[in-house]
Amino acid sequence: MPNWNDEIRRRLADARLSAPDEANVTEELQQHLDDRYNDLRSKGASESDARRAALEELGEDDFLEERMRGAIRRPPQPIPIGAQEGRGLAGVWGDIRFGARMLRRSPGFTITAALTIALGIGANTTIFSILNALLLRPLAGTVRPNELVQLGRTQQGQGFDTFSYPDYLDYSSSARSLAGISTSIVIPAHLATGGASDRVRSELVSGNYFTTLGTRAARGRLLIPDDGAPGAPPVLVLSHSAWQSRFGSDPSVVGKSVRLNGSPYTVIGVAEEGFNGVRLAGVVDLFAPLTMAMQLIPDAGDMRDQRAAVWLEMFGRLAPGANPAMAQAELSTIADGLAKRYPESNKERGIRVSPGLGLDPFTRGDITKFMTVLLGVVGLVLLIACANVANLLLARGSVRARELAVRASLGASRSRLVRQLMAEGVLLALVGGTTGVVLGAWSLRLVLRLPVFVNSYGAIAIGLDPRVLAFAAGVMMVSGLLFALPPAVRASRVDLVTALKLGTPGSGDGRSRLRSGLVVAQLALSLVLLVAAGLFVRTLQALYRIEPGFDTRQVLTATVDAGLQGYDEARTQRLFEDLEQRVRALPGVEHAAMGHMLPLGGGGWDTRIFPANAKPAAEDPGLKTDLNAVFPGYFETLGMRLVQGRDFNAGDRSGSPGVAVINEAIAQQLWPGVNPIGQRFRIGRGDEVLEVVGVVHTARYRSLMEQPRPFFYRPFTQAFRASMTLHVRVAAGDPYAVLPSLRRALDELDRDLPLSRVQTLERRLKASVGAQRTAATLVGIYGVLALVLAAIGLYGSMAYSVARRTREMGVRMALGARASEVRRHVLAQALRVALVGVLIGLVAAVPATRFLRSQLFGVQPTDPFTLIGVIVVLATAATAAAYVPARRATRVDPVVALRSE
Amino acid sequence: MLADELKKGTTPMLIMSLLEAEQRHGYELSRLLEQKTQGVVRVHAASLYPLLYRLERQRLIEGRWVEKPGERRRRFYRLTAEGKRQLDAQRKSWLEFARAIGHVAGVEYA
Repeated sequence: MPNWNDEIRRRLADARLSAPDEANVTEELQQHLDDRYNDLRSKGASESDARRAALEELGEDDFLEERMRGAIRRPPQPIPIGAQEGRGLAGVWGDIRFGARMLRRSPGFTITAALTIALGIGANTTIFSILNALLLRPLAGTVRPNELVQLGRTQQGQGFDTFSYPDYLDYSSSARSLAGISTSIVIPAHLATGGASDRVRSELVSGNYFTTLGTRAARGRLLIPDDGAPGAPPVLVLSHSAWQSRFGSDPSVVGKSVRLNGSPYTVIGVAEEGFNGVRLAGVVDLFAPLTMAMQLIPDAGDMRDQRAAVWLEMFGRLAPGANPAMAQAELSTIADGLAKRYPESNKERGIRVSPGLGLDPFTRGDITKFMTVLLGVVGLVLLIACANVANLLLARGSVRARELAVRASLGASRSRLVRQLMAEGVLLALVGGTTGVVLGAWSLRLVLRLPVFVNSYGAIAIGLDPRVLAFAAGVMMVSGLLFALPPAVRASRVDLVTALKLGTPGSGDGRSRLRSGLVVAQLALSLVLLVAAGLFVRTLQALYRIEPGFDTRQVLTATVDAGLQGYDEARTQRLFEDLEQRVRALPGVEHAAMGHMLPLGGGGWDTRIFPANAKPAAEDPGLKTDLNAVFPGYFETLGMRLVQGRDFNAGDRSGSPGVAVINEAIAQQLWPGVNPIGQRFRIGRGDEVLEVVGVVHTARYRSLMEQPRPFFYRPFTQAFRASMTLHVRVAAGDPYAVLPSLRRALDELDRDLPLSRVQTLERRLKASVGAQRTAATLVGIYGVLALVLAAIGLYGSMAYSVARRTREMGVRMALGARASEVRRHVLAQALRVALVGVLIGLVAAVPATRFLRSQLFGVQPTDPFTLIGVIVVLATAATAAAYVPARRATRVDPVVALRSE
Repeated sequence: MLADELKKGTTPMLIMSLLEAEQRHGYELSRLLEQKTQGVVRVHAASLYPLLYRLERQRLIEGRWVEKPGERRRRFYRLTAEGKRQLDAQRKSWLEFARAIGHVAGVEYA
């Protein structure tokens, strides 16, 4: 008898069977061939004929291997129930190992589900990192930060403002609930080291500033009260970042002499790394004793002794055993005493204690609102991701129904099955979550390039820290439970008899209802997100449609602060006039003029005005208006329309009658229906009276979103300011191109004067809507992400339902249904689900978008354009997601369909 | 070819039917199939054994090596309780389907 062994083994070589399997299969096949051979021989076939016929049993060359692959895959090793139904850790470990094995077995499913989770958790990690850095993390470089409180002055119970120096001394000497009160002010200054001069942010601090905070020195020592004593040599402390960036981390920096606003100072130390002053926004470069204020703040007068001059920020550390409420009560009593003793300055002044340093309570409130919206958005994205994965697990659950049934029939308890399925979910959350954290860290870098972060919080280290990781881990676990529990409970509710039949649970069973429910939820949630995104985009559109009232194109602005360099009024004026003249003569420059306030800078310079014909009554609040001091040619440079009258000219000098150019808003309010030219108005309640010589178009001054704001201009010659901003309009091309020649022009006048805040007006305009742009970008991106996830969910659900109904489709088609009918049937089914999702989403979107109201501009939360647009987008996505399965349904070959049984 | 496809689709049911009454080994199954269908269904070893292993994996049949004195050991297959349930269900739905086809296509059900 021939030996078949080699032939069989050769054909099985690629099937990758385990050694015992291969031995068994070979033995069985060998017997079969022997039997066949013997049969044929006994029927009279020749040896060679019988041999050939027997070998034919093995089919074409790789037929056997192909068939065998997959036929012998080890069945899932049911966990021996009695043995491993361990309690506690052992049981859990078994479940986890089992879960890992199950996940490894279907890599496609695992990767899809993990990536979906990763997207959701990544988005949450990113947003939480920002929230953590801005709102949760205590100020770096301080000890026991929970004891630190911010103090703010209130006026009639409102606001959070600065204090006068005498008030600081009084609070500081009488408060017992605070172990220490410190005060400081941040001012710009010119720091000259060797040759170069640069504008820096310096913080003038009380002597106990660093001891109250508990900050340590990285080099040398920090400031102490003695440094501010009369006659003490002028010293300063550098921030760590300034030491790095401006002194190249020079180890011998301590003892070095530098010039601050032209005066010599000695560097005595470097503050510890990460400490950049007590405000989150804006890094401080150096710290100097507050008593130096008189030298560093020009035109200040002796603010130290005036109770009316409020210019200092205050913070303190709670005494042992005290809490913020106790401090509030005590300080309020002190404030009342001061108000009684000094009614002319302190009447209606109060004090507010706010825990934590870094952000004043109002900014904190704004940021909290903004971050809540973003956290809500990414929370929805995560929910959608969870619904998606739950759906995938459900689909898998149906596929695995038999496996579960077998295990149940072998005696596995229901709770054990649930636990095993949960373990799988938790593992999935772990894998997806870890990937998500990496994804989140990466996307954080992109998000931090958005304007609001760059403009305001660029210096804050925003990244992953233990709190962010703990948050991510928590989200991971919760979402793991969220997406794994429903399918697990569902799948464990096995009906042994039905499940063990290889057959066909109907398509209308509970599982498919739950699946449709999940898809509906996803669509509804993504509709809410898309509506939010749409509203932000519409807000942005509305903002860009606003005419700022000046021409932002091709204008470069740069500030020159002569006061910081100790110039007097006459010298300053000469400097500015010379500079303007030189700049106007530069090639490429079309117009140039100086102005004190920058448009759309966020803040303003304001006063109250009254018609000049009568002394204002005590109860008349007057008209609150903003003002600016400008050079002739300012309106032309900014492209502002002079509606009536004239621009300032060389005739408007410091001795000549006071003049003003007002905007239309003032004209309408003070002199409705009357020609305002030649009219006069009073600034404040004093005697200074200005005559209107011109009227300009009302523009946007502080923000694009403001209501028309009264505004007037004075000639620089009659309203001296030591710091002025040069506005330069170039004829064409990039405005930055004139910057080098601008610097040269200034150098020729004074080498020590720096140009600061160099920016184009266009950039400034964009930056002024930075928050809205950031919101629109983030919500938009997350909205699209949600849509994609929901579309994948719908696709998966439809594809699965089509696959399960292959037989039904086949029979329909076999019985004569046309392809188009079947396709329409599947599409209609998908669109029904989509429609329910859209309806629920619309109902949910109305209250949800109300939260956004404070962040929106020029658009109602119920903007029909947005709603319709979003419905169209969602319907399109739903149709696209259903189309592929629908097509597949019509390709079902009736024969294949029948075989799928 | 419809006939080929049908054959492939129905072989598992035929094999399970053959195992319903008693346990049999592979070669016996292939011979019986050929005989009882008068040569219409003929399954090569290369198709038969993978199919048997697949059914075994699905716990519809069960194979075990049996040694008889003086003979080589052979692997015999028998229908499991689960397989029996499955077979009944398949028979029922096959009957339904065949009837339905018969009604529509005008083929008498034999």
